Amino acid sequence: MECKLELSVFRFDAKTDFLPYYKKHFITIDRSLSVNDLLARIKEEDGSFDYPKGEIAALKINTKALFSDVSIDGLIHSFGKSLTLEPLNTKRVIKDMIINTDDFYQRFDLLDAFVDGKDRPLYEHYIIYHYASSVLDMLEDYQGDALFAFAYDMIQKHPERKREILEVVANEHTGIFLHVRLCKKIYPCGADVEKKITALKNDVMKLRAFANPLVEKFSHHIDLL
Amino acid sequence: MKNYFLFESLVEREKTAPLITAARKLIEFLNIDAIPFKGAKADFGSELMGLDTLKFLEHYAYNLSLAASQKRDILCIEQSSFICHSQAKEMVLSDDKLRFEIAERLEKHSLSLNLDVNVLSLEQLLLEEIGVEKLSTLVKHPFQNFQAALFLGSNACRAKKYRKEELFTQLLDLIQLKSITYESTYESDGFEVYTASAVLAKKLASKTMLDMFDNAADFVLISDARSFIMFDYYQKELEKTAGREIGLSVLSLAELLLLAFGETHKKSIGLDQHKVAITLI
Repeated sequence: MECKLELSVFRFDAKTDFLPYYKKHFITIDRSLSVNDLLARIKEEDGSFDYPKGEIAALKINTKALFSDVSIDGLIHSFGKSLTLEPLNTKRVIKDMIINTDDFYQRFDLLDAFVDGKDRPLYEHYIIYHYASSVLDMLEDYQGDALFAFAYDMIQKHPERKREILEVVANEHTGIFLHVRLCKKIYPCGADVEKKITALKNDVMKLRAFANPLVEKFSHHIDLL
Repeated sequence: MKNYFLFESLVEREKTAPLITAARKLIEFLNIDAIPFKGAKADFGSELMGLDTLKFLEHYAYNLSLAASQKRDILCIEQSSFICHSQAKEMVLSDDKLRFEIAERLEKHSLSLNLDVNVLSLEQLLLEEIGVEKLSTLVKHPFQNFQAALFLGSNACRAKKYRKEELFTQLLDLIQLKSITYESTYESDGFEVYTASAVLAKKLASKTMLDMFDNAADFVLISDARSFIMFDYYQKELEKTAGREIGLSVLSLAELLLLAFGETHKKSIGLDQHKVAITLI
């Protein structure tokens, strides 16, 4: 079934633009199609528009981070027919919906020594969690929620590396205890990743031997209960 | 109507005392059978689950079992204690192994695990037990000239599992209060990272408050005691962090309803204990 969408689309070219702007599009499209198809339709209307493609292509719609293979029907159900399309991070835009993801891949290097190179695609599947976090905007070196979810998976896969992985994510200045819940910033809800992060924090607290002052402080709180 | 324990041991009680004062007054005003839940363990917020899930479950299962043993349901006046009790009950009930483990732990406190108890939010109690019809007859001072920033926070997703968000807005409709639309409704209030980094916590909270301010909120309506701490108790510090004045009063649901019901004595509803003065009266 077709429907007419009112879109506000973020536009910015880092090579030529000084400020970003939002361009209006009114597009009639089949609800059963995906956001990828919607982006392609925008490109048909305006050839200068660009967006990420491929399996981990993602963006934000009405402030929620999502992969662009999600169905339009679900989006309409959650947000209605007026949608604002933005890149995952407006500060890192190269062109329209395409961003520079160097910071995301740099975080992978923190665990690189403890995992296989072939684990990297799994990390990439958490990209929306990295850019959905408000903490990233306020703390440049924040390890990121994608890394924490990935660390949890890697502990299940490489249990012999558990201690080293936990030591990385327990960092008191950039690590897991600075995570804030982001279920509502992900579409569909990111509750599964929240569960992984909670389990990972519990693991850090159980392995207190390497404790930093922050883990010590939390341990003290728990002991008082 | 059923019998309740009013859960008063809110998170950081020295900073959340006004919420209790107002809740007690509202309960007295509406003639609800809700006595103070003496002997209950204090709320630590869902942050505790991230540190030690078993301890979290033991902590809240203790309260649930204590209430069940005295055949009273638990009335929670804000989201933090409501979510923790509801979530602990659900987790223990749905896992035999956990149930056994928690029962053993409670035995050490000479308490038998008993989860035959309901956990109710204030809005549930008001709408499902007292009802819109009766409540609407009590409204003396509708809020039609005000618009509030209703803050639900990053825990709202968790709360949604146990109660309907619409109940809150139904009560706002009852007193004709409009609420603004703003981007940070579901952002973190910063409390969850305060122990790890007070600087980060204040940055998060101040960003949210500035969003409320810039969208022309007359005051903030919180649903969680942790949000009250960040937005009222620490507001002066948030202003320093933001480098801007905020000056937004922060109200809980009980305080707001009491004002709408014509109760204007600041001391009796706890408004005199707020850090940011209430200028609505």
